[in-house]
Amino acid sequence: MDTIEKLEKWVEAHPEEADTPAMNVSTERTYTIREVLNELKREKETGVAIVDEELKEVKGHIENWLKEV
Amino acid sequence: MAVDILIIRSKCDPATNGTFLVSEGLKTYLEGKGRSVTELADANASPENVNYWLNSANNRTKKFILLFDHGSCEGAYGEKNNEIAAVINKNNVEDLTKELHMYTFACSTNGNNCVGQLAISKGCYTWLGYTEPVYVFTAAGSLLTKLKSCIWSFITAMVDGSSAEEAEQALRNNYKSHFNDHWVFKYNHDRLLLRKKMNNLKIDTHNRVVKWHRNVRVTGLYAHGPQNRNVFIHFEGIGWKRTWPQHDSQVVNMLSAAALAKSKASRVDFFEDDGQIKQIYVF
Repeated sequence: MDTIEKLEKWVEAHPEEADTPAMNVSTERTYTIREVLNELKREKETGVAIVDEELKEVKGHIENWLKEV
Repeated sequence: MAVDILIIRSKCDPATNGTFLVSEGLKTYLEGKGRSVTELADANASPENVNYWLNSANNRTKKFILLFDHGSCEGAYGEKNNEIAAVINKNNVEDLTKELHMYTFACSTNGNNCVGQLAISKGCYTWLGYTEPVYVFTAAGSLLTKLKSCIWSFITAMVDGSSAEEAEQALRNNYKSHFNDHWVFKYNHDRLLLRKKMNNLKIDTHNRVVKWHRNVRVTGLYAHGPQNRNVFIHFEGIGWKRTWPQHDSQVVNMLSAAALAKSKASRVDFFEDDGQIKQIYVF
């Protein structure tokens, strides 16, 4: 199961948590899991890789997390 | 007036709105556990106020610092004029954290060669913090409540008498119990680091007011007749210390031991707790 598929299942099971913003206290940027999922889908559909460095980091954190849930 | 615990929690931007929520109600909670607490919240979390409460000359905070704020490798922040401002940095960390325990829910204070590591090398007993930026939930809700319960589990364990290692484990276990709830719990967990001066340190056994003095000489005695249990002993190079006044017998026995030590110029070891002598050995 790839990241998108796994994350979709998680979002479906946890809709409230998926829409809760989490903020990086240093940069003050917020991310919801659903937004990141949508970015991953867009990346896959368009073939255009995510270039935003912080978003790429968050993607990495989520991929790392998905290995344990 | 001195207190056991100082809480620093600014609120001057979106991020500190989140960290502020994590520490909401903590002062009342800790006071309910019998602890004396000062809270520097919002505009009161200024560099001047933090210095007032933490400088080692005045010793107004005896055991534990809790900071919910911005942070960086260079320091931990509060606020001034509604903007973030460093309150503990590499220049003042020795004076402000020596012989205290520190918890920061803040970014990056505990990376390599950062302020937390420097604090330990300068005499701070323990520093639990994060090696990289932390994430926080900024709106009240179930995830914020869970994050709050994780962080408070460490504080509760420390205040209830656990060692820093035990308290750290309580926090790690709490983070782990919420791994399924959101990636932030694993992320923060994986960047948590306890730095310590030695093993098995507790806030009530290692702090600014509890210490053993060893191999010192008694140079004076004082007993105030009109009052019961009003006895002081003067130690060379230290000054006057009151004998623990809870029991008649202890006051009398300590005064006798000190009188013997003074008359024979014997060396003594004594245990001081908040300015009072709780144990004394005469050799």
